[in-house]
Amino acid sequence: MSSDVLMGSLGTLALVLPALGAMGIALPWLLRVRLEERVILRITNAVFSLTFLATLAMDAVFLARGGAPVEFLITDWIALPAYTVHSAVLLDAPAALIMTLTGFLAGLIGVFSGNYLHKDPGFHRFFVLLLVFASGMMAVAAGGTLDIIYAGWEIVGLTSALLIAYFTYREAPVRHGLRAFAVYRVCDVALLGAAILVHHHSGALTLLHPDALPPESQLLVGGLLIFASMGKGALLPFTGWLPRAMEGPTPSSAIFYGALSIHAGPFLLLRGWPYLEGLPALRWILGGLGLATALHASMVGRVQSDIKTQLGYASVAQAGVIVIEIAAGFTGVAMIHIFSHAILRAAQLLRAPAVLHDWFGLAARLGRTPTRHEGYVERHLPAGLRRRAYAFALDRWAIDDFGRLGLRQARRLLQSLDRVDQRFAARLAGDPAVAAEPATASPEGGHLVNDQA
Amino acid sequence: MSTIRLDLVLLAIGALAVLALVARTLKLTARPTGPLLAAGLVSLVGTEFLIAADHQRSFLVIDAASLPRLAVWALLLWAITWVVPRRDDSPALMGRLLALVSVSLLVTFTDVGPAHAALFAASSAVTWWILPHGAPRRLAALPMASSALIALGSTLVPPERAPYLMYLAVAIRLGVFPFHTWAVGLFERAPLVLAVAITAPLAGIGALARTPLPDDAWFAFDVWMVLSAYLTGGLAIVQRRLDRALGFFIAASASVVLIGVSQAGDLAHLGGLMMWGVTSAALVGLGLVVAALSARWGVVDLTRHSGLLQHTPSFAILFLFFGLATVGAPGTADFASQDVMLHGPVSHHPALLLALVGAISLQGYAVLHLGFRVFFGPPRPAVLKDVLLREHIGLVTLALILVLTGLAPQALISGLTTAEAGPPAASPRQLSARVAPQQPSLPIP
Repeated sequence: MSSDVLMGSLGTLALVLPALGAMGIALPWLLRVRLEERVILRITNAVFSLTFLATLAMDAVFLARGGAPVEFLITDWIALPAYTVHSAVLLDAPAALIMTLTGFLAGLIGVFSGNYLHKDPGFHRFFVLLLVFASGMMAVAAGGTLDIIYAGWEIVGLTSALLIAYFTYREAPVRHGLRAFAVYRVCDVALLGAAILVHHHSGALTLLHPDALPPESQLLVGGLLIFASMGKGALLPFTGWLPRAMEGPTPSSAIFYGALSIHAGPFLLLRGWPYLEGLPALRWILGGLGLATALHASMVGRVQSDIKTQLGYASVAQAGVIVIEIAAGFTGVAMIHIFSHAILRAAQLLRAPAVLHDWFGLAARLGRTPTRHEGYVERHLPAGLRRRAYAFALDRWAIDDFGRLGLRQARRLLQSLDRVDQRFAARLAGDPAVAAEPATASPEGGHLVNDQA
Repeated sequence: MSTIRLDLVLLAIGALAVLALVARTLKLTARPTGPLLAAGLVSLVGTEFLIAADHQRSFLVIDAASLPRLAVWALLLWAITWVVPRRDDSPALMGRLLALVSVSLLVTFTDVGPAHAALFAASSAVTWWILPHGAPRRLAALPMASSALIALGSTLVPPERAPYLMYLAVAIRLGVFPFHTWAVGLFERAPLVLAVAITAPLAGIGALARTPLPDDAWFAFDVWMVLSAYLTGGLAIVQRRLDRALGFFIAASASVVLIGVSQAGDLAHLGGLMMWGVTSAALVGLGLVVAALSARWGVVDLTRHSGLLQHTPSFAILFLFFGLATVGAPGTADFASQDVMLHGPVSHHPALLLALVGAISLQGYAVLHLGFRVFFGPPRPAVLKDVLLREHIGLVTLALILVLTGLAPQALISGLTTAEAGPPAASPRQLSARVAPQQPSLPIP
């Protein structure tokens, strides 16, 4: 067996295993069987252990090959006389990095969550979503075609929204989950658009051959890739969703917004680097976005009052710095930064629920209350400016207000249109009562009529 | 051989029409009769005679546009009649469903020409006729009459102008913006299952599957449909009742599918045909979930979170699955269909592609918004039954078919292209890929 085939097989295995695990937990539901917690944990632990081993073995083969990338064809997903979409994996340094991280961190989160969510009503849901997320992340990392990357991208977004809204009995997480999903959907338009444009104009299925595109299309595709990365990377002006995403369970916050999902944006930029490399204008814009995001997140994060939100903003700030590194052409540095940041932030977030315990433990060991150093930059600002900066940071630079204003206007317009429509329908149906008072649901929200089901 | 095949199709359609009358007379309910009829349709599809395409230009045509539809209708008929809530299951419903299916199949299997337009007009009349008396009929009277008259009018204009009128007639029938009022109003005023059966299978598209839209109209039509998808998708989000929101959502999906079907002579048309089948199946699944919820809970209020997840977790999963399956969620057949279909708009203008993708994204947001409103939030004190075994079997079967065809879309595509391959007379839309060069193959290790 050649090293190409071996590495491709291992990569495919790592891609497929989490999906099989998710099916293993979800299939009993089809048969109306409810699995016990320990069975779910065993499946999850086995799947992630195997996945991590597969990625380690893949890394070993990759290093033994001297770091040469592998394109491995699994099968033809769609085959028409003049149109083919392969199921293929592309295994290179960025892919190996993210796959290994995913295998390790998802396994760690699985073990951690077994205790953390013990007897929680959403235990099954969490583990299915964790496995589905891992398969999506693997697809983003290892996807050899834009279609596979996009599929993984969508899966990561959907599982993220569902895990933010994990505590379904509270309205705030549900609202924030929806908000995150809205940002994802807006930015996903760009990725799908880029994928179709590249495929249509060049016939290529990967982002490796930008020369096949006319220059204006190259610019468009590059711009679309940057826009697509802004959603999951939480770059300005789409930063607001990420701190709110911390409403989800801590383990999912750690893996999504500390470790993996937040780096999917920069990873896409690394994948699309062949497009960005020759376009200095786009790189300047990207660098500017990264810088603005890093400044915004650093400033806003300093005034937050809870540890998870602070860590969330810290993640965004680091994502901004990683983007600057990519824009400057330091792709190798960016990869090292992604790896180290993911490990550190995941550890911090997993430790976050015990921060007070740690704090008091430290105080007990020191014999006094630990004080923070008084060396803040803002102390050198005039008092008036400092107050304004504080208020500005507390208001998160008022970015959310702009978005809210536009959405409110659109909503009002649609509601007006709907009222007109209901009145018109009532006239057509000869129903004057409804024409006067447009349709609403029963104030009680419904009534029980089980027998009629 | 071809005569036998056409006879079989005619027999199936005629039998359905006759059975519609018999069902009414003998007071047959949907649940025992529907699955048997669906099985009959499936056996017809499975008949070797029907697998090969019939390439003779005749009154009835078996090709990519029509043959898979027989299978899709069989599946949908089975699903609807199997899952229908007990309160809606009646001889009247059975008769209406059969009449609807028979006339829709007749339109789908009819070739272009005056007969096609006349049958489409007749199908509009049947759609109106099967509605319950009172408000639903009054609501649909004007749109159905307009749709029928425009279709008939298409036989009076020069043949090259006829498609414009047919597309307008179908747009009215499918309830795309600004003709959505009757279709959405039906969800409030007619039995929900009947409203789903009339709108969700996107039956009107059968009249267009063999009618190419002239080149000079593509761009304008695509812009109209994109606008319709945005507006109806947005209107679904601001609704205060789930049934109305479902009506708008179906109208938005119809707009997107129409874009695919209208693309002549390229991959996008194939994608449009695929989308027609899989989107309609997913929409029917979604509609049946909403109908089952409404049978238990009454009108579902969207002005606040209903918190039904605790009572009906399986319905929550199925709602999100079918909803996302209509907007190209990975792992479902619609993902592959969209992948192929989107190559049409990009050939007109990249901005149109991005606008269309944006409209699909908005629909995806609408699904999650509606799902979160209905199932998430503080639990309400209630005793609600989750999915029954019968409903579970019907809905999960539909879901599994969508997943399996999504993981291996080649089976779906092969079915369509096998039927499509043949002399030009029978397949006016050959697959001439617009995708510029063939992409280089990856090295097969």
